[in-house]
Amino acid sequence: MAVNRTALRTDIPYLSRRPKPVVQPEPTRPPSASTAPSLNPGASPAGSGGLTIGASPAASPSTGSGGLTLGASPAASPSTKTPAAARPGPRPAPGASERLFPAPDFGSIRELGEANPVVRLNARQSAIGSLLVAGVRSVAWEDQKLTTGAHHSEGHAAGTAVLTPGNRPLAGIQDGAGVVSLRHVRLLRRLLFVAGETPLTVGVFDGAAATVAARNDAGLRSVLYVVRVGAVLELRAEFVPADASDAAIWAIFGFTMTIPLDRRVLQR
Amino acid sequence: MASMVAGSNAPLTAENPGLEKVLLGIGWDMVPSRGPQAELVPMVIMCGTDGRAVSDDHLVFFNQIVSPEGSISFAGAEDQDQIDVDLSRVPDGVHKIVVLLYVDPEVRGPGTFGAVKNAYLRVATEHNRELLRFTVPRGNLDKINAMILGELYRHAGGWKFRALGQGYEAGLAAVAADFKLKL
Repeated sequence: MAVNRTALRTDIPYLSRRPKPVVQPEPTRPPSASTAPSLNPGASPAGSGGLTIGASPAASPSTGSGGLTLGASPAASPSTKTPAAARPGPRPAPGASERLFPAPDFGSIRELGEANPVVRLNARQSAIGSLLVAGVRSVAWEDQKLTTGAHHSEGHAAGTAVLTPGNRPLAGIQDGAGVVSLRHVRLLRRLLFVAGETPLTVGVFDGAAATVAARNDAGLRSVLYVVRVGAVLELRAEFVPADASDAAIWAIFGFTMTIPLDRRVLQR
Repeated sequence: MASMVAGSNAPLTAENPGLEKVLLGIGWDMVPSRGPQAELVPMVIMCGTDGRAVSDDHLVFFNQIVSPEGSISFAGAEDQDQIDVDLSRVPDGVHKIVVLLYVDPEVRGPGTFGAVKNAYLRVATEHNRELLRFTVPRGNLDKINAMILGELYRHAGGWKFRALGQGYEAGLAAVAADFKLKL
């Protein structure tokens, strides 16, 4: 008994599968070939070659479907003729960023805090120009290879810098502001911007921006945690003890600085 | 294979019956630099009859690699970037498909096309048989930071290609304004 694999199972949102090209339906069987039981008494048995559950009468018998159909609509029937231009073609499997829980768009919330801790950039905001964060004491980064490093506003650095193909650091501090090269957002895994004594202000190329107070009402220091999920960046305001050192804050978020290797030694 | 000059156009489907899919290959060479380099990014915008982008989602680039209905997708490989266009599946509301290159507006010295030695856009069949090629003419590109290389457009029930080489000095922001995109 053939199974209808062309209809998308929208009732199981947590499952996905790689799209396959639409297969041609099996040749129509003659009405006399109907041998399998039908659970839909309203459906005419004529032409039905297999089990049919909850299908409308128009959906199964008259189209000559020879297989199992679970609540298929007429449009989903494999033998329905559709012009090539209008036929939905194979779509790539939904990426991680297409299966995210709802979050406010970046730009829709002016201030991140305990009431509104999260915003999400769209794919364009996440990939054009630079992510700029003013008011930072330090920035820490972790790339796709788990290379980790940090840069302090006073100039000292820890861990390992990640250089992009454009000969710029993937993340760092320039002129007192944290900067991330969004052209290479796919290299990025996550970032940590630790607030100094002034509010954090974060912005992107299209002008969308948000702020985070340097301290919350309880006097805790603000940290802007940035994580890449598929094609998009998500920003989250977090709070840490005000007197925590950068090293202690990295530890809270699971950052372990990568020991830089000396290229002169590696190239021998 | 035909080499094109800026402003010229050529029929695609009329000259190649049965052509349903094309491959757009985009490539360029940069003047080597040890410091920060201009980073070119290809982008495709799907426009309606008014010349504006159909929506912000009707834009395909490296971080938004498929158009909403799946007719245009980034493929990559032989050229710096390759874009597959399934002409038969482009929605009727899309009148032209604009192909451009922009210099990423990175705040740490974005650069311009002045560092680009050459740039080209080629149109090929889905099996990579080259049909048309447009090489951006050399000139003073020091102030240019975005450029429309060419466009596929509907004509008499088929598709044609027009080479453009139209530069912008105000970068991606000007492109966004022209096509009514929020970038």
